[in-house]
Amino acid sequence: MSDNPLIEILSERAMEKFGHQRAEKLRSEIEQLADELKKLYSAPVEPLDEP
Amino acid sequence: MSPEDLSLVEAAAAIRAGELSPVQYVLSLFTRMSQVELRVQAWTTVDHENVLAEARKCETEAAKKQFRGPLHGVPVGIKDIFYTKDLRTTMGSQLFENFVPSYDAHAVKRLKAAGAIVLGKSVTTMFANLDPGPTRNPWNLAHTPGGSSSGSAAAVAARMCPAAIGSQTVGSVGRPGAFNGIVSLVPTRERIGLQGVFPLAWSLDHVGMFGRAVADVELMLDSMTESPVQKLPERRSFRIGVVRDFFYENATPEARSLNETLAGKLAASGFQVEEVRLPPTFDLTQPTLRTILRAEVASIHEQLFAAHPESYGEKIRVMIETGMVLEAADYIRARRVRRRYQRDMAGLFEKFDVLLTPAARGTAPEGIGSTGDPVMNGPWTLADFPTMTVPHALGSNGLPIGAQLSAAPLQEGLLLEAAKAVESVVGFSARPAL
Repeated sequence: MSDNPLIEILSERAMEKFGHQRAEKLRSEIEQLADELKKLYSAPVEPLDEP
Repeated sequence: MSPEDLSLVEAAAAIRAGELSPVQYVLSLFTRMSQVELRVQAWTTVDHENVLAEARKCETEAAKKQFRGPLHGVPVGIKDIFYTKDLRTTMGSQLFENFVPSYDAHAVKRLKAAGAIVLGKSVTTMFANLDPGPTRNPWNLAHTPGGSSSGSAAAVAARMCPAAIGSQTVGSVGRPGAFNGIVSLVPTRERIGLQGVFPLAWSLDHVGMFGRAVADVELMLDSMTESPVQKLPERRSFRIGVVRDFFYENATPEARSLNETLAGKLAASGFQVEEVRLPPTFDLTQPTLRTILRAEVASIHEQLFAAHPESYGEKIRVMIETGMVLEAADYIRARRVRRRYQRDMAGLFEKFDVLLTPAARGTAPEGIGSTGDPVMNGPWTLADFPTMTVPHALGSNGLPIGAQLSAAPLQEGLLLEAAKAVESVVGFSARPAL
């Protein structure tokens, strides 16, 4: 099981918005999203890197 | 040669020379449609009466040597995500099945100003995402034509029109171009305005185009671009960077091998061919692209989805829902990483004119339940590199394989010249047997 805390945070948000059943269906996508966010937040960015 | 076999450039020249009647051309394309469309299903809407009426006007003008522009009298396909005045535009969704715009998208306006006739609206996947439409690959009807610009690519390959426009957010032009054995071009985003194109993701959407030769997409680009593309003198040799990192891991053994064969042919023809190593930022391509995509798709569809969730296909529904659990900071982070990525990637062109990769994992997959994987195209869309696909071989299953060529932003002139040189070396002349 992944130790990425973002999975549970995102899953809870999904449950609030879409209900338990739909959130369960989205689980693998949410795990992938959590992994992607973890990588994004590990990336070095500087104040001058504007969006 | 039958009119439907003419390239865009050939047809435009023949009309201008008085050798091809716009009316006869349209009629021959309608005949072609009647022969193959039931099997290919490339079109959502074709208004035969109005197309013929427009062709008659073009013919009358041509007889007086009055030409609206370089595409005078040539019919082209328009992906059904581009607004077309008084012509149904469905976005591939039942929610818009009776929607008729009151104005043309900017790209459509430019094409009409160049003299082109809108032949019809070509099939798009639902909202230009991944839920497929009915279109089949003209090379083998059991295979996908790719997407989201499914109908445009299939129609050009099946000789139902000489050229067509599409849109790309990740790989929706390059992938179908490769799967259908035709040439595609996605220019730098700012080259062609996106006004009147129903968005999938604002900051990733690009207008793209299909033709059966590099010269065709060049003519389409010249007709639509906001600022003239600087043309370069003809060159025979270019510095080609072969990108094996990531792209070869994601390609089939056959696609890898054929890409290597192509690289060898180019080297033997005098191109300077060398391997490119990607910067570390490249590892962030997928997280960056997908976070931006999810967030923007969710925002665009916020109200429609809330009102009509049952009308959404599963793939776009998942995209929207995962976008809805993101926070603003996540999206901003992704945009900032993208900026850094673009800067790092642009540095590759200090040593190379164009980059070469396979255009897709392999040939078009079997089945029409999926449009394939845009994994090969996304990195260059994220970087906003002008990118082309050029067919160069047939796979062992008889389906085409495409090479993907990319240049630095706003270097379409260089990219087109390199692509012409590659096209000349490859000499690809196969066509679907349909």
